[in-house]
Amino acid sequence: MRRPFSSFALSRHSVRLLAGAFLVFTTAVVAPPMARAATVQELQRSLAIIRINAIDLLAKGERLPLPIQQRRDILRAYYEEQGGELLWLRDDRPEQLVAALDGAAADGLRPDDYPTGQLLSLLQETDFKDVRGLALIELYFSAAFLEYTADLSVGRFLPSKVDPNFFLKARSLDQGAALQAVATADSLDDFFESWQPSSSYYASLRGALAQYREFEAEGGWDLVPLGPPLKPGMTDPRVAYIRARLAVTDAADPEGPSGADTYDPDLVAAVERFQARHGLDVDGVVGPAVLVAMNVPVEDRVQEIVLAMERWRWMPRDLGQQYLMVNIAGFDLRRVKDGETEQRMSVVVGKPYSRTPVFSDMVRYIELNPYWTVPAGIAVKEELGKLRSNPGGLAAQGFEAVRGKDVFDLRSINWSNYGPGNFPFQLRQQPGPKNALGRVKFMFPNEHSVYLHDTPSRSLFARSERAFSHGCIRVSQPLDLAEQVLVAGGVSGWNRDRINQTVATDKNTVVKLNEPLPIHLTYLTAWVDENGVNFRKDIYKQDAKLLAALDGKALAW
Amino acid sequence: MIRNPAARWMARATVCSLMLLATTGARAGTLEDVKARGTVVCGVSEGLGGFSEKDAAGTWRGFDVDFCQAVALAVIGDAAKVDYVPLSATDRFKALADKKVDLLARNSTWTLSRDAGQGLEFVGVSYFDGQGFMVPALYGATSPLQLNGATICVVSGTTTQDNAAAYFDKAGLKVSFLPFAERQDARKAYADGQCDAYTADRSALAGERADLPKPDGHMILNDVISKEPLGPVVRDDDAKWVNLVRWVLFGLIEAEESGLNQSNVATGQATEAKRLGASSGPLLGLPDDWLAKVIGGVGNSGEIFERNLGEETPMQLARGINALWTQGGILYAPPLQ
Repeated sequence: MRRPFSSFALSRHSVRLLAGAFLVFTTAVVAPPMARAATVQELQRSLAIIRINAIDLLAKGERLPLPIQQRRDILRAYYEEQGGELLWLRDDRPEQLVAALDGAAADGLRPDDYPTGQLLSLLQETDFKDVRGLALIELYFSAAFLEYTADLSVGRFLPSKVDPNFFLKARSLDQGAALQAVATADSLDDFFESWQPSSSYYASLRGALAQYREFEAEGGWDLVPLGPPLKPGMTDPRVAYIRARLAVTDAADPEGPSGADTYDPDLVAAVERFQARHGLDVDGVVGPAVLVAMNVPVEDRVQEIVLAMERWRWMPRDLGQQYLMVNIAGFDLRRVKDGETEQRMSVVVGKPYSRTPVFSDMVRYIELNPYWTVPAGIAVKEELGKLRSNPGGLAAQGFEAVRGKDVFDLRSINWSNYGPGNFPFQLRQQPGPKNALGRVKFMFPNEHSVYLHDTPSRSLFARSERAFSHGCIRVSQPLDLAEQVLVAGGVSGWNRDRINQTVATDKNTVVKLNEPLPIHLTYLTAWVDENGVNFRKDIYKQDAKLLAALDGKALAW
Repeated sequence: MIRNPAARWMARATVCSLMLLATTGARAGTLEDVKARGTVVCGVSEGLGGFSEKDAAGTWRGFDVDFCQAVALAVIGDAAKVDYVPLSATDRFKALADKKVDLLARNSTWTLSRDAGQGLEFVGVSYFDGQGFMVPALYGATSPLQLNGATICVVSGTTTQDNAAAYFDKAGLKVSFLPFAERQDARKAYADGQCDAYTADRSALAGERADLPKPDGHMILNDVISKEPLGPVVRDDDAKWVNLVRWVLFGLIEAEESGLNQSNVATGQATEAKRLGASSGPLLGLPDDWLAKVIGGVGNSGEIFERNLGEETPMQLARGINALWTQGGILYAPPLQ
């Protein structure tokens, strides 16, 4: 885990100084005072000597400064390789690197985390005839470059260190490949662009970050006073506040028509845009939830975007040509093909105390008319009483008992003979309209026993916040999704009619995907879509944890 | 940093001057001794940047020195009436127990064995310190967790190395230590690049950093890996003196919280200081205007911090956890009522 610190902000002035220093450097190396006419040959020879010194430093046993020492083998492998030329003591590469680190904020990173000021003064203070010293500078720059590239590309934290609910596989930077790639990149900008998270989700957040930083620079927005719900057509002195607030982010007309205290249709439209971006009921009514969302300060919104970008660094670089993505914080599932969202639907996710975990996996099969097996703990704890007092009631809901290969009617067993520690049955619910998993489940077998499924209780989808489950994910349009998942999975002959007919039989049917479909369970409180920049509540308080880690607040100092 | 107790002789001159004091004030209470003597004898460090050291003119200055003066102002009404006795880490508690000093204001960590085992009493916490790390700024490190493979300079004979070893062990990182008996040698080795990092209490690191050839080239990481609450110490057999010193400390904190400072006390606007002093003076055996004198002389806890350790000093320490509890820190005093 890393901590921020206050370092040396790099000014434009110092970049110019660097350019100056580099001029001195090239002049000294290329054209000694006696022979002003520089030749390419001489430059190359000087650089070759520095490179040999760099290799020598790395190859010898003696201790090197820590950032270099920690990457010794990788650096040595690179510089020793055929074509492993110097990366930084050439052209305006040092300036480019310093400028890139200086601009770290655009990617939601913190410029103060990188020693730009120190790298600059290294160059400025160096004796350009000291080839050993120059070799060390080259290595310092390489180390700083690798540090930044890792932060940009795979994130500053191991996901699991920040939050135990994140089970994403830790990604690590291929440092050798990064060195090779930067050597041949036309510019550092090109390099960093191709090594930052590649998904369009990240790129759009990057844009949103710039936009919200601008809002912040311009002073953000003022609080809208609380009060009773405001409905379209009403007149209220708070209308002016809402107008001003939404003029910043939702294209409300800051002036409004005459009689500006009237909640007019144009402003209603802006409120509805705002509601859509925040996952609120789109009804134009400015109630408490809308006011609370409007009054979140711009700094917090900037922070949410930064956190979402950090989480994208943890995601697999290749999401798949087709995939499912669930955003737990957005209560939303999307099916994406070739970068286009083809299907979106509401989902119900785990309650805060039975949180849906974050990880990536593959959907391997779907099950129509699934059985629901009551988890063993729940069976004894919650159902035993009912089994003893009224086994018929449970049987009427389709429950039966399974022992090995035998299936029993619940009424055929004397349940008072069994109890905790002596319960040799599995309790399961037969497929059918009352089944707790509904008509279909989507399986991506994983250690968390999490899957997607239908539900017979569909009313919850109408709520704007949907964290109700024990961890599994309930989807709102299960059969539509099943149809498309089978297509994406390369299963032929399963059109909607066949699905419907199979469902109607109440018979348990497993359909295996020929090509497993990637699924990504994510937790993002900020993202960009056709509604603009979306923000959601931090239902699991996971933003708070990541932010504390970024701020080094785990220890209050 | 917690020194292991080990006997060592005090400097000869100090011993001689103290013998005299010890004999004159053998019977009466410490407060009576101090009043009769006309000075407070205050044990300080042998020279620790920002806390207690002699400036170029030979005048003692620092955070701990100001506390000595606060006690002198409360009892005698004059900040100059302090005899400073520099004490080594190993000698300090014995010197106090042997009545060679009236109190210690000497960057000492409050621990159970020191509080309960030696007839001493910590009156409170004046500075919340903790062990940290200094690294070259060029490293671009933001956390000690980035120090895998590092060689770390450390002063031996204290708990510092053990703390750090336990910390890295728990984090699953491998580091090696380069221990030195003397602080100057450890600093020199670090300055010469023999080590990647230097670990000590953060307040001490701030002083060391200020003494490096290029302080800006080094940074102290934010992480703190141990609790080191520093505070004044007195003997525990003189309840009156314990209370007095304790409430001088609390008075400095309470003053900051009530907005009393050196300038508004000096201009006589601060009736609050007088009110607080008048109600508490008789209970502590102090004149009614004791708090006004203290704040007028050395300022409140915030002013003492900023003057000796703050961002504008060579120490460049942020107030951080040492801010008042009302301002995001944990500095807290019971009410002066």
